[in-house]
Amino acid sequence: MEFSPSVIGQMLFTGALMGSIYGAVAMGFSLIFGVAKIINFAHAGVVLWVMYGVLVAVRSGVAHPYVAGLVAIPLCYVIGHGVQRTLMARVSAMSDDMQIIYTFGLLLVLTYMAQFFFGPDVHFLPSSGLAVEFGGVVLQVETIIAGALALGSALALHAFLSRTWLGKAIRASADNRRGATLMGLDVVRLSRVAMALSFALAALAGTILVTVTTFYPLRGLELAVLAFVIVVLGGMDNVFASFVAGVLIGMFEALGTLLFSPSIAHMAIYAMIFAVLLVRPQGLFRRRATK
Amino acid sequence: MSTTLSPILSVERLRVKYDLFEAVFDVSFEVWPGEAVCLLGSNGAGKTTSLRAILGALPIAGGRVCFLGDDTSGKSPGAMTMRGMIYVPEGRELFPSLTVLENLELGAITREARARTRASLELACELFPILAERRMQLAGTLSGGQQQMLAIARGLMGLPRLLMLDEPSLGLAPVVVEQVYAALGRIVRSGTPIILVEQHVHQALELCQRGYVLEGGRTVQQGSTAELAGSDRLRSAYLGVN
Amino acid sequence: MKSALGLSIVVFSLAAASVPFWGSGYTINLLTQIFLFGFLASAWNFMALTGLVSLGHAAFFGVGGYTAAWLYLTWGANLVLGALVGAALAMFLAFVVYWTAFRSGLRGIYFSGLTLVLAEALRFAAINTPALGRSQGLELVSLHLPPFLLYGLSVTLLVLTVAGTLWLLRSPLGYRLQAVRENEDAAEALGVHTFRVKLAATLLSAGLVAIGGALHAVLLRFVEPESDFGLSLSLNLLLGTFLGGTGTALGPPIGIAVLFGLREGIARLGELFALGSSGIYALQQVLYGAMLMLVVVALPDGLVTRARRWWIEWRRASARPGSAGFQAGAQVASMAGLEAAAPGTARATSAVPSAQLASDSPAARPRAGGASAPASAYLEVIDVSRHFRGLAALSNVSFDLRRGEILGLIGPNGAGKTTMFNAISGIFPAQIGEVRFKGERLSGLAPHQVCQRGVARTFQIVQPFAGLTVLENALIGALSRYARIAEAREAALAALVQVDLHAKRDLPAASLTLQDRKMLEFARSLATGPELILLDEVMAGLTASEQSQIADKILEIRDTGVSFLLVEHAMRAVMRLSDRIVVLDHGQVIASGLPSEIARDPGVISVYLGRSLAQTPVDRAA
Ligand SMILES: Nc1ncnc2c1ncn2[C@@H]1O[C@H](COP(=O)(O)OP(=O)(O)O)[C@@H](O)[C@H]1O
Ligand SMILES: [Mg+2]
Repeated sequence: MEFSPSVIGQMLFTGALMGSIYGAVAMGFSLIFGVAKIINFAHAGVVLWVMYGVLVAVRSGVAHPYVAGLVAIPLCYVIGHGVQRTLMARVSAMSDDMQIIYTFGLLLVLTYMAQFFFGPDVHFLPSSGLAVEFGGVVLQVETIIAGALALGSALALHAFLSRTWLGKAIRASADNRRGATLMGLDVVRLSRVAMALSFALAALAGTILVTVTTFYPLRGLELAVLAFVIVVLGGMDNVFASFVAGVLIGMFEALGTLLFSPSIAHMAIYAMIFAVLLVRPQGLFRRRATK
Repeated sequence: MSTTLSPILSVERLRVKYDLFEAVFDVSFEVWPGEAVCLLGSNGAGKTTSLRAILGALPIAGGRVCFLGDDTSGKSPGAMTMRGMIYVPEGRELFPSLTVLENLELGAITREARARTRASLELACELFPILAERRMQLAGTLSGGQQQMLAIARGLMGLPRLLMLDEPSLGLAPVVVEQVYAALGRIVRSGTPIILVEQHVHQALELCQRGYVLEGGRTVQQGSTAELAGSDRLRSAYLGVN
Repeated sequence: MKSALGLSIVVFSLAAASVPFWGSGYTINLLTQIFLFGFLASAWNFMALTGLVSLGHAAFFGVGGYTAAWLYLTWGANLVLGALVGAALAMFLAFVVYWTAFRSGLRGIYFSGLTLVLAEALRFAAINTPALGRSQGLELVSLHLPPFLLYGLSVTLLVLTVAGTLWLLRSPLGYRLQAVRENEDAAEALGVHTFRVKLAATLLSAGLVAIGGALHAVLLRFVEPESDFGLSLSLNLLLGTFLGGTGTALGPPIGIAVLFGLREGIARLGELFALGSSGIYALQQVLYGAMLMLVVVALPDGLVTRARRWWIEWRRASARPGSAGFQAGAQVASMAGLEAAAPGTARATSAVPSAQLASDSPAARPRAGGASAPASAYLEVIDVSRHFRGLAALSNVSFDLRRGEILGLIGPNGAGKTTMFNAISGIFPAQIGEVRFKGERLSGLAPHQVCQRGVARTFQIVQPFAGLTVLENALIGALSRYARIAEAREAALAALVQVDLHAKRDLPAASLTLQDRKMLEFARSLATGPELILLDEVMAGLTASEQSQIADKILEIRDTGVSFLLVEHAMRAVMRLSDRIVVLDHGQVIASGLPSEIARDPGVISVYLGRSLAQTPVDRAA
């Protein structure tokens, strides 16, 4: 294969767009970790179920993926609220290890329920075939829309967290939970809002993932580990940094795939994260030490 | 005293437990409108524990807390803050990775306070001009004194009907303590009732009209600050000698 | 109890040995898997004994399996040799990884995440290595083994690890592991080299899991990235261990057996409903997930621990009427919540010879012959400074403590007392200035080394090893100077006698009252044979009468030749107890002297009460 600038550009663009979807998945994980101190591996299970939901909606001719997504996002927001009231209500008080075991358990349930109902097969939605070309780089329309939506969600979330009072309150309780309680912020309610937002992000990520990649039940487990890896890179509770880290990982993956193979790219990613955990557990973008 | 006949806050025979042991056995005190009251006592006497229990951040094991005429035992800190009880915690408890301005904005908890954010901000910055200068800086990068000022200002943003200050001079250099107390004096003169918990007895006695002495989780003495200043009991509570 | 366990192991081995004579091929195969996974879970448990949760033991499992398979296919190497080489490789890998992880102090999600990522990285490495067959893995088709060899091997390994765990739990290393699990800081303060202990447990665990991996490869006749390095293996081991009970010897294999039972049950059901293998597998995994959640919520310490608690309660209930054997009687009485056992009972159960109560008891005997050290050169704090983010927590603090003295260190909130305490006890690695004890530098030593030099400490918020008994708590302290359990137990008992906790020696530490917990902390530090004890706010939270009991105890122990440094808020107690007092304010020593002098010192009074009150009330009145 020729490594012409346009091929490399193609890979980097596609990688960045894929990466921004990873980033959207990771942001939800990071948000709930910051505010409610919940390490929610099951987050990827929600993404997976949205993917299957959209698939069913499209296959049965009910709706276009984006329309299905428009329904899924508010629906997941509400579900997230409910989940934080019930399944996750007592999780923030558990030790890290117990949380990991608990949410991994939930992830297994979600992943293999999907396998039970939908079978282990690989699914994908046919693409529209529309593509855009500029400077030798050809991009599927779906990929562009996906990237735009992911980036849009990251910017919107960033604006919400830095501009609105509620967003600031969410950041405040992530920053100093006890301080937030003592000054009268209702951290329990804020945790619910954060979980709801995190679910809504999962819905968005699931919807756009369906339009651009193949998927299968085990994708749930893979995405969970990947989201964790990205969030570690971004510094765990730094939501926007998680998005940036997602984009980086996407580009890294694409480049590695181009130069070697997808699995070598993944090996390199995990080896890199392994080193990051050992050397800079606080993430790449921050100087503050971990607790 | 003031025109109202009832105290803003009355605490009767408060008891608070931490899991295994009782930190507060029997604490009673009152705050009347416009009053500045200090709670004195050596380290570990149960001052912070009492305040946090009154705020609803710790469960109350016995006794009664009345705030603005209602029995508020068992209410959450959120609910108490909504009613105008604002706590400025020991150790400041700021949001270090938010800016000074954001910290202040978050202090405006009630709808009313949020509507008046701009006016309160002006007031706060007039009281502590340094905060206006540093408003875009992260709170975690302020000096200790500035952080304490920010904590107090953040409390004022909530339009307190009762301001509870827990050791505002903790860890500050004497000069800075003077500055903080100058500001507290203005707050008191503006008519905001305060409860002040202090180790620096001298300043507390000068600022407040009345005080209570806590020892081993009990109120052991009360009186006007002038009376307390001459009291042996106060000395023994702090120095452990009779 | 002990012999009952031994007996059941023998019975189990005999029963297992009989299976080949009557079991079908299917039974044998299933049992081989159960025993193999039971063994693996037991190996995983060695690490869990220290409280560490690994999500990536598949890494070591895979290393073992792949090494054995590759060596066999490439060199025709003996499988046992292959397994051993695999184990060595896994241990080397574990050493490198965990050494770094423990050094950088990774905890919680960062630690578990690291183990997870390690396994994933290796999985992709296997997928990428042609010599390892990429994603196909390696097949061991040509392998011919005598019948029942694998079965016999897995039974043997299981029995050996369970017996090994039982033995370990009663060994010095085992107690140290449990101490680390219960509370790492407290363990370190009692002289446990926590770093080394954790490393030992993880290496042992990694090596054994690798051997299991090799056996598994032989059993299935292939190795493959997903099944050898995949997450589901790690989760299986974790679930089995948690379900049965982490930290128990029988828990992991029992948990695994239950899991396999459920799995087989689902398989039968699935066949009944013609679900197909993918559906069955999915259901099994759903069940695993649900069980993981359930275990966390409803059964965090596992079946075995739960069953043991029921057993004890049942025995207690049935023993109450008679209360025959006096030892059991006392135990039952105090278990039933009668606070301090009545004095009569306590004396009746004090089986310790009275000679031990004399001052030559091991607990009171100082560790080294330090008698010749000159009085002035005992504990010396020389020009110690410490800054936190530009703030001076301590600046040029100097004082000393003489042999046999009780020195009080006081000061208002934020004066730097805790920082000073940490500087002496070794919590802070480096600092300006130095701390010397009997002429030897303490600065720069780790807490466990400070403890081994004869300086013990207690914690402000009491930190007993809640899951262990009172005696075991003290035992861990005593192990810092005795290598043998029997000797350490003597010293521990003597220390318990000193603080009047002897009658409660078999109670779980979690059941003690606050005062007893403080006494237990005391006993634990006494058991290390200290010459100097640092007491951090030992009076906090106690009533006046409890405080005076502790004070009496301190004086009593001081008379056996132990010195004390008290960091204390309870002024009355400090004034009463201390021979001398040092006052800190804003990180500086502002006064030192006799209690009576301190109480009259205007500087001190002004620190506490403010300048204008520094005059006596009489002065003011005038
Ligand atoms: N989180 C806690 N857990 C257990 N005990 C505590 C806790 N916080 C404070 N205490 C204990 O409660 C008592 C009162 O403490 P506190 O209210 O902080 O006193 P003060 O504010 O007067 O210095 C002290 O004995 C202290 O050791
Ligand atoms: Mg306090």
